[in-house]
Amino acid sequence: MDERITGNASGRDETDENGSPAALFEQVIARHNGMISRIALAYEADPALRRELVQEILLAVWRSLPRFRHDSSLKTFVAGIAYKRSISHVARAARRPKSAPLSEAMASEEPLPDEISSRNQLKGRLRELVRTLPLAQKQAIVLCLEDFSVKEIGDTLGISAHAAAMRCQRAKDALREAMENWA
Amino acid sequence: MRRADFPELAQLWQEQIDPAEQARLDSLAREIKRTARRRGALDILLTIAGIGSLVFALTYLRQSTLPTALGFAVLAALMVGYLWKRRRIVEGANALASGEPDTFFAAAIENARAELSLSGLGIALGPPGYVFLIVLLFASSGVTGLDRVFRSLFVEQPVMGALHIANCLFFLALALRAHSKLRAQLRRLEQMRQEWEDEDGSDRAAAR
Repeated sequence: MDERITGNASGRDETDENGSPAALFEQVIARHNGMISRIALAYEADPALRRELVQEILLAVWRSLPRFRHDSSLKTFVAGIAYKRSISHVARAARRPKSAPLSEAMASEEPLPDEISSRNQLKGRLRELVRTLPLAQKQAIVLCLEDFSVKEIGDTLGISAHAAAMRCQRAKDALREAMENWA
Repeated sequence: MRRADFPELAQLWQEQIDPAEQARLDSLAREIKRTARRRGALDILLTIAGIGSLVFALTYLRQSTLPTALGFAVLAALMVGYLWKRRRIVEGANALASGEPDTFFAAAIENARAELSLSGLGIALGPPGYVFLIVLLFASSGVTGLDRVFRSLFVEQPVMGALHIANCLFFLALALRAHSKLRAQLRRLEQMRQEWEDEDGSDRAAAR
């Protein structure tokens, strides 16, 4: 298991997470909105639908913050809401997540320098591969890529830290194999 | 990909959203309190519209004979019951996001089944309910008996009759479409739960 996913033991943010729901929501916007956007990206390829999904996640976070009991970190709490909302979104759309359209970020009308272009291709490929992973592995790998510790992943997914480590390892193996096949 | 490359992949992942898109999403986040308030206001408006319809129905009740009044009361009770159940389902769906992760799929599937049952009930009761409402509206204006109602609708005012049929078919088509989407949603949730349980089984096998 690599060090990145062994993380801190408590699974708590080191920053202050006290305050009213409104203050907590400001923290969510300031610290975790990028993570919310990327979790939505793993489940929805269409940019307009993704913005709707992000809005649904943020609304769910806003409604749920009064029930936040500080028994886990704010990051874990928000990630849990984001992945559950994303699953509901995928189920409502009643289709398997489709692959990203080429126009999403990879293609540009302006010619790009080689290095940027290949980095963008790599990003696009990573995004596509993450989307095509089986649901449980996708949940785990997204949280690994977001620098969650195994304890935080376990808390978010409702599984033990040990199971989270196993699942992350399988997801990484699947991602590694897919990346190697692509390369 | 070598194992050492994972931090590099994490870096790539965290650069996925370009700054312009992230700025749009940040501004969406800042608008969320307003969006929540707007949705709350819409809920209140819908409740007021519902109460308004009941008050409107009550004015009919006062002018009507006892059987017509009872008919309206039954329709109103069915409508209130349907809306109350629907509200419970929406609240259940909203609560899913902050529920326990290990019971998420069971709760989501239970909620989807309740929604599907309610939709089926709506489809079964919708057209007869619509006909019943038309008959009651005619009865309250003095036209009683099914034969007189049908003659009035389809012989004396055929355009009105056609409009009612079109209206009924339109809402029935919408309800059937929504029902089929709900069925697909339930199927997809069950598939995802199966995927989840398969992965859980692999976790346990690997732990042994």
